[in-house]
Amino acid sequence: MSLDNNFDSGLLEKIKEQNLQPTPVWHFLLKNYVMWGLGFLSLSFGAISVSLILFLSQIDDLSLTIANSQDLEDILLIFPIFWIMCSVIFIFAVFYNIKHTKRGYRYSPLTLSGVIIISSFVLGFAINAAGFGETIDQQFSHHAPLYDRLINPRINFWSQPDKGRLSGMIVEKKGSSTFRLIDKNNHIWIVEVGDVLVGDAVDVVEVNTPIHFFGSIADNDSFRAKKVMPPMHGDGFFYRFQVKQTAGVANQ
Amino acid sequence: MIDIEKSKNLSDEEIVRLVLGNQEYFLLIIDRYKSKLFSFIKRLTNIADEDAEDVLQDVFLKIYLSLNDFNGDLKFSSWAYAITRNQVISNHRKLKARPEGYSVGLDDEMANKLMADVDVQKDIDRKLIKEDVSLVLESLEDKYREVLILKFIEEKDYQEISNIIRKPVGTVGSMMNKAKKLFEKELNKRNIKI
Repeated sequence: MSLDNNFDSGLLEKIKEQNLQPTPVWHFLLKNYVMWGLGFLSLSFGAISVSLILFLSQIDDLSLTIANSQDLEDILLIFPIFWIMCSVIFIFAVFYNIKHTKRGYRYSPLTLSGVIIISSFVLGFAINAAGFGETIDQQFSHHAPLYDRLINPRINFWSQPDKGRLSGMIVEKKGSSTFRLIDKNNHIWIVEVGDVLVGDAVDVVEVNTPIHFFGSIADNDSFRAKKVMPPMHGDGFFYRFQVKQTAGVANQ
Repeated sequence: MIDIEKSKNLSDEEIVRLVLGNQEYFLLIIDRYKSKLFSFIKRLTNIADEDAEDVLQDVFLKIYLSLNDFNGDLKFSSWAYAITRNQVISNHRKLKARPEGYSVGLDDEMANKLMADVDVQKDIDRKLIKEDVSLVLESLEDKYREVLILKFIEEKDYQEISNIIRKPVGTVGSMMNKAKKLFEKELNKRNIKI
């Protein structure tokens, strides 16, 4: 093993010729701060995702779902899979960013993962307890594209009239037992509640109120309701079908 | 001109500060580390001396350009070895070829140290040890050969190895144990009587 005798001087000459200068300190500091910043940002998003899992898991319809459907696909629809996946992705992102900080390699992967998961849950609980989980879900339900398909597919669980579940926005009230309802597919239904209606939740049924019914299809456009469900998470989605007072028609 | 002899007593950290004011002082760093890093490159990879020298030049250029990133929270030597290791890996990626073999470059003392650590009988022919240990090391997976080289040939402690290979100290410990077991297993597999 031998080195050229002129290695030292040749190298210094090269540095001088190319006028090379050490990279400024701020460049390295910035890189490190960016990784920490992205780490904290990911932790925040992860915690928000956890808060939404917790909020949507305060399940008001789980027992009913299980009682009324043996279909695994249906049962899966009520779980906040989107937010579970977001949490996992953001937890990985925090791990990646911290590991790529200047001294991130020193943290044990197991300890670091544990700290990130616990922090995400503690922050997620706090965010949900402060009511932000609900606020965020409401904002998404009103405005987010694909809310019903991706973010909260529980909407779809309640949009299967052939399986006895119908949901939508009341667009017209005809007397005390008949309503016109628009569903998520813009289909108008005539809903008759009849004598078998359980409870007195029907009193809350007003125009421009989101609603969920159990029952059965009577014919193409009419549905016989057996039960009116109380308001549910994600009901904000149906305000997209709100009746315009002047025009008197549903709009999306 | 810099008087290398007069600057022998300066610490690495002091030299780095001097280089940031006057690039001529970089000669001190080159002089202090060129042989060590050249040997390290040769031990990690199977390339000709000329190619190893090119890699070494890239290493020193990277060290020079990154001097402001060295803040003294780890030893300068660990920092320089880490840069060297990264450059060797990056060089392999560029060539897109895994080397076929390695020139570990052991001396008797290094070979004995390694053998003693894996509890192998020491009273043996020194030349034989050196050749056998080299062969066994060359047969190990990159990550295990690397930790053994850093520990027994480059004489780094676990903390330094952790800083060089950018893994937690605990992981270095586990890798070292596994590496020693594999080393011993490979000795037995090859039926090397020592």
